[in-house]
Amino acid sequence: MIGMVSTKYAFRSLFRRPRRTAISVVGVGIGCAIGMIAIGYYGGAAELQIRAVSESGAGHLKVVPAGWLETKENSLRLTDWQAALAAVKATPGVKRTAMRARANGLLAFGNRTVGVEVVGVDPEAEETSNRIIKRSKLQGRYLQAGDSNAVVIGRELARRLDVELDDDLLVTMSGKGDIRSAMLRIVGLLETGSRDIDSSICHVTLNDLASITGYEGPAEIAILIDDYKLIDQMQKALSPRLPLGNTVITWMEVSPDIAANVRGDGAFFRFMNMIVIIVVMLGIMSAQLTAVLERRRELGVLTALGMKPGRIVSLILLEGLFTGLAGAVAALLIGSPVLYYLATKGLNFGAIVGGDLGIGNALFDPYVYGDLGIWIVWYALSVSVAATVIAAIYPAWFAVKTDPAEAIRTV
Amino acid sequence: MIGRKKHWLSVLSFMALVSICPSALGSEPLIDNKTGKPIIPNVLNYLDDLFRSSSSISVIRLVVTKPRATRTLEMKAWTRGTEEALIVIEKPARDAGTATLKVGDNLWNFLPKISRTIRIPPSMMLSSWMGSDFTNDDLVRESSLLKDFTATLKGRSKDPDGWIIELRAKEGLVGLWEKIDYTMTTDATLPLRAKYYDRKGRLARTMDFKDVKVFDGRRIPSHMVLTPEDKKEQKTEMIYVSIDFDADVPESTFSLSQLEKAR
Amino acid sequence: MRLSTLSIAWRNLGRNRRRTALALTAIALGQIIVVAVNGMMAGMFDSMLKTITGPMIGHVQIHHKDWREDRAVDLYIDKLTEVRAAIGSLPGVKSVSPRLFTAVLVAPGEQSEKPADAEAAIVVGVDVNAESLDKGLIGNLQANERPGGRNVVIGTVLARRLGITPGRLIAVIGQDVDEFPVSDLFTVSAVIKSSVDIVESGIVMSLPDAQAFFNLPDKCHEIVVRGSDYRMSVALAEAVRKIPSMSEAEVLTWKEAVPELASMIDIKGYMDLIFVGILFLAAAAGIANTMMMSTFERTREIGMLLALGSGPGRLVRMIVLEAVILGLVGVAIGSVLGTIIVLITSHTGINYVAIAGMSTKEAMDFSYKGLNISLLIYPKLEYRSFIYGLVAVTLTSVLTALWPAVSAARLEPAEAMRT
Repeated sequence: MIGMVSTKYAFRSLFRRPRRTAISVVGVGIGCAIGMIAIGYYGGAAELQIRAVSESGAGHLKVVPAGWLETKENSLRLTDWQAALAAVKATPGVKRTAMRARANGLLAFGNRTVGVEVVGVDPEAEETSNRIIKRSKLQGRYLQAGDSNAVVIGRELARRLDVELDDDLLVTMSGKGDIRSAMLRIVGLLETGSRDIDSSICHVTLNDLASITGYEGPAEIAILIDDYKLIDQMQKALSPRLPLGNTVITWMEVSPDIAANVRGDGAFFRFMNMIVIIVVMLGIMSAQLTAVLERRRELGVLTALGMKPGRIVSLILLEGLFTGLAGAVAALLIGSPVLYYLATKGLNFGAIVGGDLGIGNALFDPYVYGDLGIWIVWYALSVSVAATVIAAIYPAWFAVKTDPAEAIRTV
Repeated sequence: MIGRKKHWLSVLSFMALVSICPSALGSEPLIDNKTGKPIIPNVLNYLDDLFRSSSSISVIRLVVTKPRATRTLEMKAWTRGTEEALIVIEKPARDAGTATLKVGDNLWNFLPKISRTIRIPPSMMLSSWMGSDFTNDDLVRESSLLKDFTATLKGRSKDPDGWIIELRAKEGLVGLWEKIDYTMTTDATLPLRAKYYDRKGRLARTMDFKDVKVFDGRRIPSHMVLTPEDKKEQKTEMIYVSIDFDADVPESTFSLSQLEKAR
Repeated sequence: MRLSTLSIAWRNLGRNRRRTALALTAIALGQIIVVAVNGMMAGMFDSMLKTITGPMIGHVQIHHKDWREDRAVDLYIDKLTEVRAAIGSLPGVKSVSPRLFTAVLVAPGEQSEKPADAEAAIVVGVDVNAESLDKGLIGNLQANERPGGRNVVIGTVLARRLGITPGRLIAVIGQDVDEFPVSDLFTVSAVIKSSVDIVESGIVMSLPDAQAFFNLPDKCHEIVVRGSDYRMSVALAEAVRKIPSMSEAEVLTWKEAVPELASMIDIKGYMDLIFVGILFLAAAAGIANTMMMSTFERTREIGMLLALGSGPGRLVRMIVLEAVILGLVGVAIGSVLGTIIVLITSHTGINYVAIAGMSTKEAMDFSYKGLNISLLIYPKLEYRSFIYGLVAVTLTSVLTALWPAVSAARLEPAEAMRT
């Protein structure tokens, strides 16, 4: 047992040299806090991509008809979509859902035609969950529930067709069994600034799509969840509760290329993480070593006074432990506000990029939101305590080996 | 309003009742004797039925003029009412045997080079038919000038000399044209020109009707020239070499198997 | 006098080996971090840029000036052979890769009773040799699977939709440059998995086959030019623009061609900079902590010196000099060690696959929009990191020794000695 004596002595010795203790603790705290910030910051980078993809319409998860992923066949529809939707909404952790269906078609006006993928949406859900809608400049208005034969297209698409707001487009699509046409009035023109996105957006209401093509019901339910780290668990939880013929996939299966990029980044980030921890620990250790080694004289006195080597070792280790704990607290105090700011306000790279970035089908907003979670407590504790205790080992051993007389003679 | 293709059974049956002999057209007066002006509904009805019959076999020459090249195709066409049509290219040799079959709203192409029949998907519907300025959709889409448009007599036109009838698409019509201006001859028996305006009211293409000939008892323009407004160096000319109205065309002609064997 | 203060400072350091060693270690470590991590980031950034400016996007892209808006078949680049020769003769040009794009309909080629439902697809006509290189569009194909001579390659999504497997026939129906219909049968020699959408849902044909099919002799829609160094893209573009036959064409550097990717890279660059900055702060904290600690611990010693008559100013100077020496020596050691680390790893590469928790096979399959991501970093030595380190690290050690030195020097000697 370490014993009360050592503990009391350790405690008191820390308070006897307040400045030294303060520097120690603050030093440990700052080093640790910086490490936390680095990790929180870098974690935000991965989140940037996932957020962009999932909020640009892909969702974190999607309920789709079985077999859709292999063929991407637009005419497939969900089986018993009402039950599927109910199952989704009943799953805890689901933030938002949006239903959609798609059809390949041709938009025509006068002599001009452009091939598009027409997306049937639920206007309210789409507006709240798809950042492409939220963050774009809109001329006119977006779709509303109850709209009939209305369409919202991207500005670039409108330019190709040479049309404007309120023009009537002829749309031709593959329907059930044959080819269907209809007239659609442009009620809104969207502009995101990304040419890719602006030349492909073509939204109608789900009901319109169903009545034109003859295929009833949605073909997908996109799901946004509260915590993106729980994607896999959500998938497992939801899967058995869906009606047969449907399956739930993650955004990674939908956009494997971005998923690959995120994993690559994640790997690099974990690697950097290791480096950060090493650097922080080494920094703390060197400071602690210095502190302890400067106390040779004091330790020599203790030995001369008869303190057992074991006790001295435990004394030093305990001091290290307390410093570490206090340092962890300091780290949390120092680091939390910074991490909080990073997590809520985020770092804005917008100035470099000039607004949102559209890559492929996703709209990236140029903010890095730091990661914040209970992990910071574990991190602070483990890093600072480990560092201070390990740092105390060498001097503890050394202190015991020294001849007390020699130690006292040190200046 | 979501439009599906119109069915012409009503017009067809009316026609069948009315047509006792091949040249059933003209049984209704086109010009009002008192005012000297065209009687619009009759004129539209007449126009709608100008090329229609219960069945027909015709030989057509298609000349497509493009900035880089001009091509001439010779083809034979079989029709049955407004729902069925089979067109087979005979010349030039490179395209000989290419056939298009329309049944109702569906369109198929037979391509001899690969000996395959494919069904035309929506993405092809508005692409040009055989490279001409006519689209596949033009072949398939049926609108009745009488039923789908609101017509107004605009008055006389100078060049060409005739009557101008303005047709405006009715509410809910599924189609590309907001307005079509037809210029008819002074006796309103023949169209001279049709101008198609897109849904913004801009002129998109012009069709000129020339070379009136008598085919099988009917007086019709045999030479049609379609000129797109945005590509002036381009035009498509459809020339009827011969038309046999109410010919004997069996139902079996319009089947996919026939498509591949068609000659 | 300066000289003697310096020699005292020097001897002080020598006298207390352990303290000096610790301080040196902390400082050297800081410098190692700066050099090594910077090297890693630079290596990764460079590799990312090399990947992006690979065969897919190249360094310079050429199109007919209206083609990118409309993608129409008749917006082509003419006199391809001549243009290729002209570009190829420019200094530094490594490859000139032409491509052709057309929208077609495809259907399974075998005869059957029912007519086929044709699917829309895009034909990509490529220079088979150029695109079969390591990171090209068809880089992962065997030699006998490559398109050419009536053989074509289709993407996995298209293959599944049509139900076609290698060896079978595919019917391709389209319109040539004059919009006249063309159709033909080809043999599918391979089904290719690609992260480029156009290829996944499309057909890859050899350029000569495509040119013949669509009646585009000696023409193409896009030319991708690569030089020896992506950093010379702007100069390369300028040189290409000067070629007479390119006067009407649109010539873009890769940044102009894919501005969004370029922006993404810029962001990454800044994010990396911030990260290195944070890391440096962590190292600096370690240095600061060490220096402060060791100086505070010398309060007694300082008190004695004061009592012995040394002026406070001289004292502070002595301590600062010690810090400067420590700083310089530490930076020197750190620089050498950091350089060694970078040089070694720039040859062997740092493979962080293991840390990523993936199998090597998975790592090999990585790609992003057709660009393979590698989990191997080759750090690059960046000379400016030495300068930064020298200035920043030395400054840190000096400043953090200054405060405790000054506050100790202000004390009453007796008080100081009692510590």
